[in-house]
Amino acid sequence: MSDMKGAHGAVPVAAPVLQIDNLHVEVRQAGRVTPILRGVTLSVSAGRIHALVGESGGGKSMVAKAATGLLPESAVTTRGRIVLDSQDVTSWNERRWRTLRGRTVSMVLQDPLTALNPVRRIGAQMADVLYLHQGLRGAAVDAENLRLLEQVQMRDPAQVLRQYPHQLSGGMRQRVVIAMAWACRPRLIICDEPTTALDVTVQKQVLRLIHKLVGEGQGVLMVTHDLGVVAKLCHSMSVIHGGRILESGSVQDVFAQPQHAYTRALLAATPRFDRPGHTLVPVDDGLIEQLDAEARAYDRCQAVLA
Amino acid sequence: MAGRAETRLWQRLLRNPRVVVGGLVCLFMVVLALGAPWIAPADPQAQDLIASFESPALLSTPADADPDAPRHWLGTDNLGRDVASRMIYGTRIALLVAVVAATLTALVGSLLGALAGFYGGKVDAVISRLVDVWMSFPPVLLAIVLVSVIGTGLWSVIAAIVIVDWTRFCRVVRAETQAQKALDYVTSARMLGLSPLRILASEIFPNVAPLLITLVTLEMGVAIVVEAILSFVGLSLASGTSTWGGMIGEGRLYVNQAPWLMVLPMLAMMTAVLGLNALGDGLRRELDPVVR
Repeated sequence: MSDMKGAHGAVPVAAPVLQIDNLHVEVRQAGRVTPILRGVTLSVSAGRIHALVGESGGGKSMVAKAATGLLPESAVTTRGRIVLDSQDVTSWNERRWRTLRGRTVSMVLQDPLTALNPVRRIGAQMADVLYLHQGLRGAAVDAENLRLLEQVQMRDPAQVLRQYPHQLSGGMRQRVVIAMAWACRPRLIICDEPTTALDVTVQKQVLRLIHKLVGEGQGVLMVTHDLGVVAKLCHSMSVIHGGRILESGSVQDVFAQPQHAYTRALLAATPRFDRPGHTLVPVDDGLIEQLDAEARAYDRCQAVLA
Repeated sequence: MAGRAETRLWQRLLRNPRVVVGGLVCLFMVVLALGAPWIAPADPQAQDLIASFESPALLSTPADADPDAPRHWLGTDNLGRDVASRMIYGTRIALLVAVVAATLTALVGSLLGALAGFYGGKVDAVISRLVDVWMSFPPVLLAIVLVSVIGTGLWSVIAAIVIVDWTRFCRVVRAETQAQKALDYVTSARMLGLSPLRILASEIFPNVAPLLITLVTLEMGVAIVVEAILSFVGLSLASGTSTWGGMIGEGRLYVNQAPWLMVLPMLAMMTAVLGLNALGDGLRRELDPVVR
C-alpha cells in the first residue's frame, strides 16, 4: 500500500466531503457470499474532481452506490466506514439517507435517455426538487428553473421547461439531469459515467460544463473507464480493480509515473493524441489473472482473520 | 410544442377506427342511459296483456294493425311490456354497473398491485400469494356464491365484481410497477430525495396510467357480462327492474315463440362489450409508449 501515501500529499488541505475508509462490501445471495469491495479507501475534497477508474465489474459502480446509500438489499457492508460531509453514514437506513439525498449528495446517472421520467414535463420534474429541498413554489420555481437551465447553458430554457424528455436530444437531457443534480448545491455529486451514452462532440460540452460547475465548490466523484476524461477534467484519481484500490494520487503524478502495473497497462491501452506514434497495447491477460489471484488470496486471509 | 403534442394525441385517437367505433358505441350507451325517460317510447314496466308477444314492428307490421295503437318497434314480451323501452332502461343498469364496478375494481386492484410491485419483499409475497389463491377460484362461481351470501341487489353485484376481479388489476399493475421501478428515472428520483410514496404517486403512476385506462375499459365489458350472468340466474335485481341479463333469462322461456325476447338483449350486450373492448384495444395501441 506504499503507493497510497502519494495521494494524501497531493490532495488539497480542505476537509474531504466524502471519505471512504477500508470499505468491505459483500453480496449474499442464495447462500453464496461474493466479496465486491475489498478495502476501498478514497476521499473527495470540496471543489475537486476525483476520478474512480477501472474496467467493468471492478467495483466502480458499487462504490458510487455505497456513497449514496443505494446498495441493493443483498449487499452487506462488513467492515470500514463512509463519512459524508462529516457524518458517519455507514449503517444508515433508507429513511436517514433520504435526508441527505439531493441536499448533501446527488448523482448524475449514465444514461440521460432513461434518467428522466418520460411522461412528465421537464419543468415539473425540476420543480419537485426545488419544492422538496427549498420549499419553493409558484413563480419562484419558474425563476429558479430558468436560472438552473441557463447555468447549464441550455438554449431556450423557457421552452425546454414545457417540453417532455423525448423532445430533447441526449446532450440536452444530460444537461437537465446535471441541472437537477446541482439544483440544491449539494456538497458531493457523484457522476456515474456521465458521458458514456453521449456523442463524442456532446461529451466534450458536458465535461466542460461539469468542470465549470465544480467552481462552485462541490466535490465530484467521477466514475469512469475513460482515461481521456480523467486527464482532461479530474484533479486526483484512484484506480480500482477487483474491488481493491490499486493506486491513488494526483492525476499528473499517476499519469507521469504510474506505480502499479495495472495502471501502466491501462495507460498503455488508452489513445494519446499528445504522443504521436503511441501504439496501443491491450491489457495483458496474465496481469489480470495475477490480480484475480491476489484478490482471492485477500479473501482467504480475511476469512482466516474473521 | 407541448400543446401540439396534445392535439396530436387527440388527432391520433380520432384516426384510430377502434377508438372511433368503440367510442361511438359508448357514447350511444351513455345517451340512452341518461336520456332513457325521454327516449324510451313507453314505460318499461307498463303491462298490456292483450298486446303480449307482439313481434317487432321493425320487421313486419301486420296489415290489419290498428294505426292508432302504440307501435312496439322491438316487440313486446310475455306481459306485453315494450322491449325497446326495457332495453333502453337496461342500458342504465349496465352502464352504472360497468362504470362503478370497473372503477372500484381498478382502485382496489391497482392500489394493492402498486404496493406489491413497489415495496417488494414481504409486502409483495403476501399480496402475490393472496392473488394466487384468489385466482384459483372459478370467478363466476365465486361471484354467484358471494351474491347468494351477501344478498341480491345492485350493490351486491358491484361488490361481487370488485371482489372477484381485483386480482386482474393487481397482477398487471404489480408487474408494470416493478418494471418502472427498475428504470433509471426512479433511481434519479430517489437520489433527489423524494419519498417512496411521492415516487409512487408522481413518478411511477403517470407511467402506469395509460395501461390502467385500457384495463378499466376492458373491465367495464367484463362487469356488464358478469352482471348479466347474475341477472340471468336471478341473483341481481328483482325482475321489476329491467336489466339485459334479466331479459335474457326471461326470454329464454319463450325462445320458441318469441325469439327476439332473448336475441335482442343479447345483441345489446354483445355490442356494448365489443364496443368497450374495441375502445380499450384502440386506447392501448395509442397510449402504450412501447407500441407507439
